[in-house]
Amino acid sequence: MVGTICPMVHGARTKYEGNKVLLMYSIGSLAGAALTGGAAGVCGALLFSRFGSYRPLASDLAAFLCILYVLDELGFIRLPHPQSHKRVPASWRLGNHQRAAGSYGLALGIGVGTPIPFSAFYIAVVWCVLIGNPVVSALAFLGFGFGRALPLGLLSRFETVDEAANLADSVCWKLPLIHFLNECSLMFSASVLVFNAIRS
Amino acid sequence: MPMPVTCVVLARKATVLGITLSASLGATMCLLLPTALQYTHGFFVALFLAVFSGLTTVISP
Repeated sequence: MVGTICPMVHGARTKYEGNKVLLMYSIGSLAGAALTGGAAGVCGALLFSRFGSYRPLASDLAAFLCILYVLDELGFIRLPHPQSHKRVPASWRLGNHQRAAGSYGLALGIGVGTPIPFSAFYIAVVWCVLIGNPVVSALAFLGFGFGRALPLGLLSRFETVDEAANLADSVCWKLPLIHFLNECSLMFSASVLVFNAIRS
Repeated sequence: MPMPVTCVVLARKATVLGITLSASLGATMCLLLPTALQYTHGFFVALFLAVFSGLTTVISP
């Protein structure tokens, strides 16, 4: 997406128009993320309204899933990583740039149906289900949209697209570090879930 | 070029240490916060994971 939105921002006739492209992308991304979080919250609300007594068990299962994904990240086991390798259509760029940025943001902010490189996404969705409240889950999952929009906002501050692309490429080479951070965040999440279940 | 054995051993140790520290941090947070705040910190953990996964999705190749 760095290669799509940044050129749209830099290619805008004025800085104001470039900022509008960025704003539309951010709004789309946040809206998409809120939709996914809200949907997960609805699933949780429906599930726990019928099987409320199984909530601690659900927390235990989620903690177990976190630990399994840590083992998967460490290479001990192989777990499925449901995702789609489809890319957002490049043809959207041909029309109005602001509308295109909003559509890209929405499609990617939803998260489901796009490439998902790290398993923290699945656990974030599981947490939103466990929260069991559509509004709170949507608010929590807004973080995904924010996380998707923030780097593009920062990269668009560069003078040229090449500078932004070079920085993005240099971060991509830090994959082992990102995997390590992913393992730590999953383990933290597992620990919180286990101790929550023990205390409740 | 393959990574030297010392680097692999150090990386493994750092991973184990990081994972242990993360688990301890989660446990400490749960034990120190009152049960009444469970719902709130559930929200913050979900928010943290969501921001983290959003950021990593953008910077991954």
